[in-house]
Amino acid sequence: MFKTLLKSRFAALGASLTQRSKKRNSNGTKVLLIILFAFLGVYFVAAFGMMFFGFSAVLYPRGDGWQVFALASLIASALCMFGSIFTTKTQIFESGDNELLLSMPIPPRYIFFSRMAILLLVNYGLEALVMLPAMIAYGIAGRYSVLGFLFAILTFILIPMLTLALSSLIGWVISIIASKMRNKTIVTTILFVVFFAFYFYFVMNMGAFFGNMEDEASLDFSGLKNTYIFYWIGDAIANANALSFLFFALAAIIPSAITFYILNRSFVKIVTTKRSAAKIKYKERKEKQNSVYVALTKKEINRFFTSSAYIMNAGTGNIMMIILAVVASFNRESLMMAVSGLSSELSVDVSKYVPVVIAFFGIFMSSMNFITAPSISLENKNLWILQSSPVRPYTILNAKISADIIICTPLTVISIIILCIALGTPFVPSLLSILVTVSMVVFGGYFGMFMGLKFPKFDWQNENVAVKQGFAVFGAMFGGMLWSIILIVASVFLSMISPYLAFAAIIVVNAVICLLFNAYFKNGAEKEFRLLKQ
Amino acid sequence: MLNISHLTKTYGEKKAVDDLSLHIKPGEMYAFIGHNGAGKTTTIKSCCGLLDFDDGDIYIDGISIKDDPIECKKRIAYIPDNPDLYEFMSGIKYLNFVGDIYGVKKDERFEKVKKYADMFEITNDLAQPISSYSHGMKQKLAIISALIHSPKLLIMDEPFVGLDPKAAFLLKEEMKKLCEAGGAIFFSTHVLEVAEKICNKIAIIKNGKLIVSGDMEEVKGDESLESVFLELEG
Ligand SMILES: Nc1ncnc2c1ncn2[C@@H]1O[C@H](COP(=O)(O)OP(=O)(O)OP(=O)(O)O)[C@@H](O)[C@H]1O
Ligand SMILES: [Mg+2]
Repeated sequence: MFKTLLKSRFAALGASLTQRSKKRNSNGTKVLLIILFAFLGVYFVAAFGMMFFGFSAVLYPRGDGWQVFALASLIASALCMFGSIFTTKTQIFESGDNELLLSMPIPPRYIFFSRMAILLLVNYGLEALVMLPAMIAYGIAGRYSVLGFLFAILTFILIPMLTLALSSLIGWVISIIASKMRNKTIVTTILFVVFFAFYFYFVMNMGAFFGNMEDEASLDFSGLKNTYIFYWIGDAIANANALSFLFFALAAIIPSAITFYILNRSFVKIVTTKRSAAKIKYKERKEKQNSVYVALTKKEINRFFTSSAYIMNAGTGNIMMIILAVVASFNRESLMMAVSGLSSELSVDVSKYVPVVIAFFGIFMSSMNFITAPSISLENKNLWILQSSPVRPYTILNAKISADIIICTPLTVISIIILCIALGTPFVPSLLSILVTVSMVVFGGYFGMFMGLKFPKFDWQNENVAVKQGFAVFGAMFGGMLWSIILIVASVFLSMISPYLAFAAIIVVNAVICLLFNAYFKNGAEKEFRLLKQ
Repeated sequence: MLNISHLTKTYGEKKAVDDLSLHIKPGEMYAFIGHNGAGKTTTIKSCCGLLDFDDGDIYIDGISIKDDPIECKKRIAYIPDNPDLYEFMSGIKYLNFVGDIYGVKKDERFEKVKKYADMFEITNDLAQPISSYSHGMKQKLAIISALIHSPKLLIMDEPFVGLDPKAAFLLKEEMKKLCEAGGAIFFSTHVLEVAEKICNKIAIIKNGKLIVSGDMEEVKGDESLESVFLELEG
């Protein structure tokens, strides 16, 4: 029974990795994906192997071999956390077949542990990308004692248990906090964004926190001593210190055992309690009348903010942009130094190109937003409401585009302003880079709408499918990215003549394209909308 | 009010509706009955501008739905067979959305929402998201959203499915009122007793073809509607 459950989990995991294209599971795409994953795996292993080989060669002779494993286990844990925090939440607590499985005569702990086993496996895979090359590199550049080697293997086994317990706990806590709140979606999204902001900040500054890696002689991660756990790991493996290993093993096993015990105990309760907030009391109130256009736009905005799947997938650009802008502003000094360093090296004033680079950043990031692209697919069963309404399809499409622009513009503008302030760009170029980015947001709205209308996907049960899969979403995302790259490359050349010329060209080209799309929506697309789902 | 003239709709080879003509005048309540797959839903969707048809035309107040669908739709309220509403909205948000789309004024909207929500007893649930509604509650909300913009023509696809007896009774009362006020109603149903009791007109469809239509009394004669139906469709 446990085996069957595991099998079905494997199938689901495989499906979530491969079933992204429209034609499901064609062998060609499968092979291609396997090659891609294999390539990425080899790449990571090689890159980490080289890095740790370099470190080991310096640190081992110095008697600081523990730092290699402390660093490797830290990076591996970070990778595992990153990889499992999303999957944990959806695999365990929000998995679609929970209710079905619970209605069958299967002990709930089987269900829980089959879920956990799969997640653990994913974690081992991620860990292997870092720990294996580190262990091999150390073996070549340094030397293991027998006991140290044993500890290395045991550590490898223990790390994913700790990270999985932690990420399950975080996923669980987030579900609980969100369930207590009125606006579940927003709270979940914000909690995740905050988590990732911290995470990125931490990862980007890891070197600064724990040591120095400027050059070989001063290579030093002794700061890792303060993390205890990772120091214990390093000490256990490199110095064959059994006491350190005991500390680490206890620190890994006890919390994870407690976490798994609690989660297993409350699994049924977590899954079966419909996590709906307290009943909202209806207050009679005269609502002011909106125009048709405003009503439709509000509806789209409402749609977006009530679905965390929609926000997380179609609004990725917004989220990334604000996180990166904030992180960059924390690192403003090193960025400024890089600019002036580059200036003196090239003996040209690079700073006048900074607004251009900011605009490129904005352009590229906005191309990751595609809020309009899945919006027709999302109508699906509700399409009759709009189709039977006395409203022109042109108005409907325009409202969808407006909603996209209204959602994306504020965060985009704020991110660019943060960057401009952090990098001290002058007023006019800053303003222009804001305008350029906004023109890209508008382009994204129109282009996504076009793709959404041309390639709607109506064969879904779970809205995750509508916002993640299908050609509308893919085309909008990759088309948008391609377009942003074309614009960036073209304007690199133009900005050699004058940055202002590059700015103006982007704005004009985007505006012209949007006008063309608009003309199409006004004339050609009316019929297309009416014929959707027939 | 609603004039269907030689409506023909094919799906691939299959003729779902075949040369169907029907005229519904103000004040008339038309029941539309027929076996599963007879073509009721197809006809109804065509009348609401949800389906393109191959031949014939549909006029609402003399306006062709092909030429000016917007003007036609302003006069219609449509309730589909499955009340698939925006699950992410609360009931009251949805009603206000519909009110905005059909241009229902603030005070009038407030009065009507209060009246119908109290009548169908879902006032307390109006602030809840529609995703938490039961099937019947969704159906009630769909009915309310149709009534709040005072349509001249009410088109419904099996409106009584899932309604509790009290709500079904209330709906019938509202239907009568709408017709007395000069509106027209065209609805499909499998519940012959309801059709028999409240409708003054009836149309029976079989394999896409209209086989009988006209005054309820004339069609029925002395028999019950059920026996007429079984005889005709059998
Ligand atoms: N999208 C479609 N594609 C192909 N055939 C269809 C489609 N929709 C309906 N049909 C066919 O058209 C015919 C009429 O269907 P329709 O839905 O109008 O029946 P109905 O009278 O509403 O039936 P019921 O009482 O079951 O609701 C059926 O034979 C059906 O198979
Ligand atoms: Mg039907």
